[in-house]
Amino acid sequence: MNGAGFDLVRGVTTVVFGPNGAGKTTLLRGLVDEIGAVAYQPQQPYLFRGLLGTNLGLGLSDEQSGLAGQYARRFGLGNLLAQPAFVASGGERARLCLARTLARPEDVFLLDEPLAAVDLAERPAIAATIRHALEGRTGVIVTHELEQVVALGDRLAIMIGGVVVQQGPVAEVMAQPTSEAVARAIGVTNVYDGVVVGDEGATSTVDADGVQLIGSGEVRVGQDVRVLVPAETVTLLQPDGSPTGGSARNRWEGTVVAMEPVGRLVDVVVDIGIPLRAIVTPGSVDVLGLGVDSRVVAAVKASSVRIVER
Amino acid sequence: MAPVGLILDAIADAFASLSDPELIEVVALTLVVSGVASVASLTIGVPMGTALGLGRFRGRSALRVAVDVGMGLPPVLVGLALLLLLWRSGPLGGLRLTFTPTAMMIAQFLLAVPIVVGLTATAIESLPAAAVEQLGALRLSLVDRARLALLEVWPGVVGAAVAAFGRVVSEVGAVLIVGGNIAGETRVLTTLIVQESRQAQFGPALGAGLVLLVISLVVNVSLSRTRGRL
Repeated sequence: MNGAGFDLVRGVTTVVFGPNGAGKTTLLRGLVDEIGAVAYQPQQPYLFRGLLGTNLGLGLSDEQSGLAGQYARRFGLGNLLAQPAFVASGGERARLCLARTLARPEDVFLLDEPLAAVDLAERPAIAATIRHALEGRTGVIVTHELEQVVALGDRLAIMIGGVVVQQGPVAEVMAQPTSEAVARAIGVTNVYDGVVVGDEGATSTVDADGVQLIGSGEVRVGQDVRVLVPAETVTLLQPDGSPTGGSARNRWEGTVVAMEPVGRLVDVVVDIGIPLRAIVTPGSVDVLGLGVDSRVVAAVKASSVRIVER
Repeated sequence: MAPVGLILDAIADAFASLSDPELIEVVALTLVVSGVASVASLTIGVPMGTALGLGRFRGRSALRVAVDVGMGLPPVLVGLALLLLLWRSGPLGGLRLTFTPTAMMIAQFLLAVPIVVGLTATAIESLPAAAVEQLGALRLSLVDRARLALLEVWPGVVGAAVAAFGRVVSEVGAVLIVGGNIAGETRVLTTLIVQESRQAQFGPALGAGLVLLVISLVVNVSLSRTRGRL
């Protein structure tokens, strides 16, 4: 606990998410001062004069340097280590600093926007390495990108205006924002853990607790993944499918289990085998005659469903 | 025409005086005194400047002000204070150091130290915030942290060395007071210039001045060349 109201949960990775200027970096710096023995990677990667290889080993024992070298090679820096630091690009700097930090011996890892300077195409592999390196250790990772929350976090803390306004398991926080401020910051998103069971090229099919979800993402069959279904992309239809769901590939029949107004909209929870939240207008509620226990079809376009390696 | 003639004569005499064995002796003593003072001030001043630049301790800002004031100390005042200390009946009179090259080295060391400390601290303080944060995150020992920071601001440290040597080799007040300008014993280039000028020996004075200029140039250029090396 600290001034911002952040709970440091040991043994898991917590992602701190929030808009720019929310105080995420300040929180991390506070944790550095508070805990002391931490592996900390500041937001701005900085390399000192000398070779990239020399930078990689700074502050590490020989054994830890070996591990950092392994990470560096995995991050595609193997050929660069004999080069002077000033030749490195922004992304290379970020990856080198990350490789060094991940090799540190401390039990607590504090990473400030570790993927911000990394190319989009390289992020999934690096995120997987971070997850692997932090397994069983305590991680706090700051980001302002939702995709990274899902890829990296076990827990999620939402920060707004210098304080943590909600924290808990990722899927819980993303699907059930406790305040309008949180909902505005991250939206309401259904998050499911599942396994890829089908690859149709542009789309993949994921099985999550027996429910099939079709979406897009760079994943392979058999992979453990997380599936994101933003609640505002869910369309609710009559049980007979009218009005037609158009091009929506995902169609699940289910029963409304809860309804609650959020601002001017209505948050509807449908049990399709797993709970699915939909944000709809009061008009739709009237047209469909929705109420608790109503039977409905929930439809979502596959392009709205994101699948992230987990 | 006459005024120009004076200058032309002085220049001709200046070149003639360069082969004077007495001048060579004076140049040698100048290099030894200012060289030792500079090296000693760097040895003490660079670690102090690093500590001042990196450290966050009580009294730091007061110390910083003291160093800044020290950078502009009048050489004659330093010479006078040192002379009082070293005077036969003074607190350090037993050392018998008045009018010796050692006293001149001490005087120049005292003038150079604040410059080295101040410029090193300034160089360290100019490290980007990201470098300072990364430096802390590496969890290095104090010595390793200081070494890495110094290496990072190497051109600034070279600048401190250049400034320190430039200050002491061209300084006249302090060495004149504590050294006494004794021919063959404590006469250096600057005091030689004073001596010769007083006696209207403009040629030898100008010759000594030329040598001083060349020394400054050589030291400056050779130190500056190391800036890009690391």
